[in-house]
Amino acid sequence: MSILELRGTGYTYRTQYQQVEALKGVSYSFETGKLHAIMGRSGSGKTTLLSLMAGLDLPTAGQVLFEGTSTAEMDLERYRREKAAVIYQNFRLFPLLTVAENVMYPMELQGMRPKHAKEKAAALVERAGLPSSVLNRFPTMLSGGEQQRVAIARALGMETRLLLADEPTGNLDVANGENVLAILEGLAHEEDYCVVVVTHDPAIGVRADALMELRDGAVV
Amino acid sequence: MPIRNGLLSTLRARGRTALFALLILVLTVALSLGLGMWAYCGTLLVRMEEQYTSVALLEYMGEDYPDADAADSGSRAALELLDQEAIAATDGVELWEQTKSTLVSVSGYRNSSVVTPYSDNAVIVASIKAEYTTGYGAVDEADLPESRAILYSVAGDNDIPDGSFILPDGNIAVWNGYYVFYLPDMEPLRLPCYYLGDGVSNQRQGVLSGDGIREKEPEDLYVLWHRVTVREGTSSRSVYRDDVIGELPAGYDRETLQNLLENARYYYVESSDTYMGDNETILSDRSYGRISRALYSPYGADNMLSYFTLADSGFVPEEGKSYLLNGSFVSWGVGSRSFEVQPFPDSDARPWLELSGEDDPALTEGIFAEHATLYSMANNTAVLTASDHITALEEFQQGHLYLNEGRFPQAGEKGVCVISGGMAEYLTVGVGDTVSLEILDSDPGERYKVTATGDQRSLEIVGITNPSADYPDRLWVSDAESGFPAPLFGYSLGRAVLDNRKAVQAAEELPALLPAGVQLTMYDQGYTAAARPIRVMESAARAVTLAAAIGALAVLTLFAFLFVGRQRETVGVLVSLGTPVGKIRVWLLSGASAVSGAAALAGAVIGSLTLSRVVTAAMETAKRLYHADTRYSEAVVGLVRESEEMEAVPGWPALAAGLTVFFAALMLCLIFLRHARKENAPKKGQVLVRVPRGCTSTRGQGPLRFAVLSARRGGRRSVIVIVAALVLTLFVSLLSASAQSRSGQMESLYADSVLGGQVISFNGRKQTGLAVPTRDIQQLWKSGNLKDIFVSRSWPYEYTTEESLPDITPTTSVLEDKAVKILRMPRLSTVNSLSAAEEFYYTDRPEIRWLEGWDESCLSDESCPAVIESIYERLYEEENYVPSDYIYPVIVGSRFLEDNDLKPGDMLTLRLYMYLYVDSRELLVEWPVNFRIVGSFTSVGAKDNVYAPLSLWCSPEWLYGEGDKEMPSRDLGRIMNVDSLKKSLYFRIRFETCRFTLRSAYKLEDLRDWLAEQQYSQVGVTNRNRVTVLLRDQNFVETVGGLNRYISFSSILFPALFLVVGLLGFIISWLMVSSRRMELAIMRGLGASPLRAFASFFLEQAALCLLGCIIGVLAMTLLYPGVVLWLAGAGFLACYLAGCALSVLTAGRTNLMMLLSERE
Repeated sequence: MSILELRGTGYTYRTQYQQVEALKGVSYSFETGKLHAIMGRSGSGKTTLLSLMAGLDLPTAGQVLFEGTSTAEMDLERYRREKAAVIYQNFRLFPLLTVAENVMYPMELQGMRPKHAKEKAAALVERAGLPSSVLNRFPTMLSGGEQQRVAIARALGMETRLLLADEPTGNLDVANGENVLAILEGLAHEEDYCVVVVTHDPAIGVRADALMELRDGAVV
Repeated sequence: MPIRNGLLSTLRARGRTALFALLILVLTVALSLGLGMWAYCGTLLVRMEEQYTSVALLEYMGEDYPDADAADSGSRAALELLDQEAIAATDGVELWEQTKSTLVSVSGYRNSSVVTPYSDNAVIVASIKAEYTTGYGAVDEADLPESRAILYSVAGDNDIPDGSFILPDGNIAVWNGYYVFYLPDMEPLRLPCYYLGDGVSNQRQGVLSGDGIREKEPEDLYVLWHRVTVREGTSSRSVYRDDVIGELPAGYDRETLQNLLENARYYYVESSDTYMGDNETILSDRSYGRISRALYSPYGADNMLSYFTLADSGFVPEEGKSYLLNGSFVSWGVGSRSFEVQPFPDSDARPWLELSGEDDPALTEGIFAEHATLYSMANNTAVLTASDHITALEEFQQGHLYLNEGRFPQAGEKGVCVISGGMAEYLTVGVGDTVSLEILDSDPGERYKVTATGDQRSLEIVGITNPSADYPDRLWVSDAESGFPAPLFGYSLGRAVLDNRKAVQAAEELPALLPAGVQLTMYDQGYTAAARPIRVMESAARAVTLAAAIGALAVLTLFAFLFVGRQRETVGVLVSLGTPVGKIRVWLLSGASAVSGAAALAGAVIGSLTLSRVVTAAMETAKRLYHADTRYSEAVVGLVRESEEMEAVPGWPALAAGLTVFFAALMLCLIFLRHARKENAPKKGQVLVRVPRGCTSTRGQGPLRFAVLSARRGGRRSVIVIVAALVLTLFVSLLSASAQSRSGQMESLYADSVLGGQVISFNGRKQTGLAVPTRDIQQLWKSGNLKDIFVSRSWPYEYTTEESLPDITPTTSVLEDKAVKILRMPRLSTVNSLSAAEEFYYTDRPEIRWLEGWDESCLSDESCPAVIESIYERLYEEENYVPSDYIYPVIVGSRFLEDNDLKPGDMLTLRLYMYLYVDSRELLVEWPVNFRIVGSFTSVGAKDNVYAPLSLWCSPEWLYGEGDKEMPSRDLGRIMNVDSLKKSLYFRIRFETCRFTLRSAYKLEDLRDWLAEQQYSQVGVTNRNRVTVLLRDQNFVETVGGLNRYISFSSILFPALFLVVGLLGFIISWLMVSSRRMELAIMRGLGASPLRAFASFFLEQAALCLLGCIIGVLAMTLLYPGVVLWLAGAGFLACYLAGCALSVLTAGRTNLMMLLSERE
């Protein structure tokens, strides 16, 4: 079932010296229960596309439709809070919050009381493959793989069906990368998430259910 | 090629290059200005050191101060007691010199201006002979015109009442002599002559003396000399004229007689006899004749006519004889010469001698000849002063004298001198000429009683002063040339030449070394006041220079690091391409040198061009800040020299600043060049990251939860905010508290200060023996600015045990006889406070041992009857006169008690000698007054002066001008009653000291304005009112000035400092939030609303800053309680939070997509 659709999506921005057309009329449909991979060379527009899908910005052309509704017509903050969860290559965790508090944060944004959120966070961390002992630790005390799992747990805590991951294994060693990928596969295949992964890694492309390749901002 | 590429690489980094070029330029300008102003101030201060001379003049405040010729044993004793070594060793004293001067006789020089006891003395030969005179010279009888009026005068003794009469209009005509009119073919007509004076003294005299006044008889024929008003167009003037009054005998024509009088065709007859007239026998005390020769005369003796006043000499000359006379000229003019025969000053020998002829031996030897020599020598002396610092002598230091040409003798230089301009003109000598002089020896008791020592010297003139009437007969030599025995005359003990910079400090320390009665007066020619703003400017310039130098070093270091040290990649490329080391250096240095050089050059040029204006503006500002109203203030005593400001501002500082900046930049670039050439690899090492331990919190919710968690776990970052807030709040609070404290101090200073002032001599040194009119005392009081006014008035007294009636001696001759004796008497001073007691003016006030039940308030007791009342009753209302048995309290010195075998509580009688001016005559009144000793003090002065209540002399009401004691109109003298005469007397009296205290320090400016409005004189500045007032306000004015300057600085600097502190807070909060942009982005990325994100960070920063502020303010409150601190803390907090809010808002506008997807 399609959850997110790109319809002629384009994105242009200006730098100090020139105007850059990062995306050129991209049309694509992302379905739940699948692991989608977006691949392409550096500068092909992968991350830009992911950011538009995450609601960090609006396309300058075309539309990004979530469950048939254009993001332009939606409250983007709410969209980010409730519809699209993002896992970044650099994890993007709050350094001064514990693992549990990091996972709790989006739940609290959704209005959940901290006590309940804490309980749920513990379950999510466990689900992400981390021991409960890490709950009270700060992110800087964890390894890269552990931090990425925390980021996954935080994304799961948002209870969205759309999970976007930007180079989730980029900063991880092979073993940790494999673990993370396994989790993402599991979420797509077992829990009906629509998992979209932006990656350079051909191995992920091979394991993805659907592959979208970008070149110079356009789908190849 | 490397230069070109280096330049291009640098210039293409436009923003960075422009920023650093601007910074270097600004700092070079600042360095140029700071250095230039520093150099300017330094040079100016050095020049001022040369221009200004500060001295501390030490004087003994003796009885006859400031008589420079007085032989005062007290002054000599004070000199003996003076610890000259300690004075010379005092910090700030560059040279101590005791006063060294002697009288000399200069060859060829005749003194015409010096005032000596023998100034008018002469030894002359007088030929006694009656003469006709027109008043302009003698006329031989043969030359008299046929028609003439001749006045036989009674030689000006117009006080004789006999013959006076009352005119029909009530005026009194007074006998004046008689006229004889000679007309051809007529018998001489003799008419008595009367004069009608100004209607004041003569009338009163007539009324008061009572006797001899008669009504004018209708048949009286006389000449009346009187004043008439002559109209000339619209104006009129008064002239005196003679009118013939009465019926003339037959044959005489009134018009003819009147013409003789009006056309001045009349002559006096000056009789040679002590008796004159044939029918009238009038005693005269003078004779007439010619001075035919002078053994010594200050006025020459060219066969001139003269009166010879005989006084009490007993000399009765005879017509036609010649006498050798000793005496003095009482007057000397074209129309009036009067020689008074007087005793020899030091011999009882007769002062007259009948001469046997022109070769009488008395003309060449004997007492007359000796005294002629003494008078000649004494009256032709000059004063020779020896000093190694002649410019520090008062006459030069105070600007009365200066060199017109030549130079001063060097210290230790012998055989040379400087002479006064007047002497040089008289001797017609110039620089390079020689003067010959002989050192004279003075009698220790009389300076001008001189004898020749035989010590003759020949001195080359190396300098000539301006001609000055005050210093006509002076010579100055170096101390090496002194070597003359000279007892101290006068009161100047010596002077300390002070280091200008330490003059104030030295002047404060020296008084502790001075014996009683010695006063120190510091004259710094206004150096302290003039140098103070320049010193402040110099300090400010030093600070600017230092700050600019540090700033330049920091900027240049960063510049070198960025433009050279950080060019590793470029170096790597160049190395990889095989570029020689030299070319790599040139590549890197060329750009940096060009930027720094151009900026430094531009900075130096701008600095050089603006320095002059900046210096001028800074000088004006500094002067304005240090300007104080010193009218009538003791802060300005003596000459104030205007400092000569330098027109040329030095150019080298700008050049030096430019070169320094450029070479510093070059050196730093060279240092960083080595750095750049090192391997371009980061250092391997362990990075220690302190990881906080914590546990998951479930407290709170929303942004506050995040804020609290972040604040708690922020570690060093949170501490930095708290500490920064604490420190900056402390600083702001300190500034505020300081400003508040200064305002409080100012208020306290005004509220608590007791300011005073006094009337003083024109030179600002003599505080006693003044003549302050009652009118001025009343005016001062009525200005409304005074709380108290203390005065004194003293009279000579004798301690007597005799019971005798008061004696009134209404003649001047008795006064003259007793004058010397009276001058030596101790004095009874009536005072309304011991603050006005002149004996204590120059020393610490001694402790008074009071008789039980008595205290100082007895001096201001208004109930004592004024002695003057009794005197007037005795003078004018004898029928009402009852001798007073009032017993006045008196305070005496311990020596007086011992010498007279008295003790406190004893009664005694003192005979006061009072000079009263009554009816234009000076009366000497000897008046016994009874006293009781109510207090005593340890004697200080040489005389046994005693102190009694002011009301013994006059009611305190007179000081305040209350009731009928108000100032009388100027024509008071016309009012003919005893009360008005008493009133007149009070207003003719002068008080000898006058001190006052101000009602409040707030009244100081009002009093200054009032004094200026009333045109009172200031020390050294004559005004219409010659009473000189000095306000003792120096410490107050300096403290107020300091506080005012601080407050002025505060008003300018504090807002700037507050701004800087606020800016710092702003920057700190900005940095704190900016470094957490990623967290903000994550928050927003997770869907937090902008408000929540803003609140999360803002609340965190607010909490931390608030904590710091509260701690800071609380800490300061313990020291300086006050609401202003809280305001200051709140101000800083507001600035910090503003920075925080702006920072969060700015961070919130960051492109989330770019930030979150940024690769590290």
